[in-house]
Amino acid sequence: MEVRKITMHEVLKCGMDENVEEIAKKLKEKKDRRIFVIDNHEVLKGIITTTDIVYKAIGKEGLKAEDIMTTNIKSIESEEDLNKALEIMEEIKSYVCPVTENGKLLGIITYHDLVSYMLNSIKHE
Amino acid sequence: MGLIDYLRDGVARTRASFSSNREKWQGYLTDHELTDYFGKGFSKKKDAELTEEERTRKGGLERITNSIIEKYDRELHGVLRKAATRGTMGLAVGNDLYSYIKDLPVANVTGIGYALFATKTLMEVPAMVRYLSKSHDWYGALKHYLMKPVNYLLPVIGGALEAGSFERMVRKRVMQEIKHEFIKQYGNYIPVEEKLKVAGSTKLKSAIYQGPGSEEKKKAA
Repeated sequence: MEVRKITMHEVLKCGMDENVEEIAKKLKEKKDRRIFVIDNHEVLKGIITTTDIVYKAIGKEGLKAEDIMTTNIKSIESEEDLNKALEIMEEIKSYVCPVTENGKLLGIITYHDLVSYMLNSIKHE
Repeated sequence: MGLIDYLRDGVARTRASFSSNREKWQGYLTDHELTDYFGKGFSKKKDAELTEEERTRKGGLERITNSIIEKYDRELHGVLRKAATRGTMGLAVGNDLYSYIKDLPVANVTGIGYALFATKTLMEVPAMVRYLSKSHDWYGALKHYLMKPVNYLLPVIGGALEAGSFERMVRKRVMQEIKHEFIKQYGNYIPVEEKLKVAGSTKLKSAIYQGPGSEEKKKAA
C-alpha cells in the first residue's frame, strides 16, 4: 500500500506594496488568519497575521504590506528533508511550516501531515 | 490483518495451547506468528524440502523452544499439582454429570462444586507464584482467574476446561516467549527511533503531494 503523501496546502499571498485594507478583506473573505507576502519573483518576504493588523494597522491609513509584515520568516526548501521541517516547526513553535523552492513560496505543510507521513512510512516498510 | 485472519490465528493459538506437544506449538508459530521468517504452511513441509536457511531457522526455533520449556518445566509438568487439579476437576465433572442424571449432586452435597474449584485454586497457588516471578505475566494470570467463575458456572464443560487452564496459560506464555526470543535472535529488529530517523531523512519534495486540487483530493480520500 502506498503511503499517503503530505498535502501542500495552498496559502493566501499578497504583494509587498498591497494595501492593508485589501489584505484584511482577503483574509475575511477566505476566513484565513495569515497571508504570506511575496515580491515580484514570488520570493517569500514576510507574513501578516490578523494580530499584526490589529496591533499595527488600526487607526493608521495608507499602510502597505511591507509596513506591517513580520520578516525573516523561517521556511523549508523542498530539497531539504522532513527532519529539518520538524526542527523548524519546533524552533518557531508552530504547527505549520512554509515550503519554498529556490526561495519561491509553494505553500505550507502541517505538523500533523508530516508526523502522519513518517509514521505511515515506517508502518509500511 | 483482516478480522478473519485475526480469528483464525486466535483459534490456532488456542488449539496449540490445548496440546502438550511442542511440535504443535512450533507449527503454530511458524504458520501464524513467524510467517515472515518461515512462510505460510511451513509446518507441512518435509525436512528434505527445506532450504539451508530454513533448516537453520528451524533448528534455531527448536533450540529456543527447548530452552524456554526448560525455564517453565515445573509449571508445565508439576506431577503432584497436575494429579490434584485433574482429580478435583474430574470429580467436579462427575458431580455435574451425576446431578444431571439423578437430579442431585454426589452424596447430596450441594456445595461440592464450590469446594472442588476452591481446592483446585488453592493447589495452584504455589505454581502461580513461581510462574509470576518468572514471567511477570500479570495479564495471563488475571485472565486465568477471571475465567474461573465462568468455568464454575458452565456445567460439565466448565470443569473440563478448568482442569488444564493453568497449563494452557503457561503454554501460551511459552509460545509468546519463543516468538520474541526468535525475533530477537533471527529477526531484523530495528528500534522505532531509528526507523523514524530514516523516515525523517526523506526529501520533502518526494513526500509532498503538489498539484491542482490537492485539497479536494485529500478531502475525498
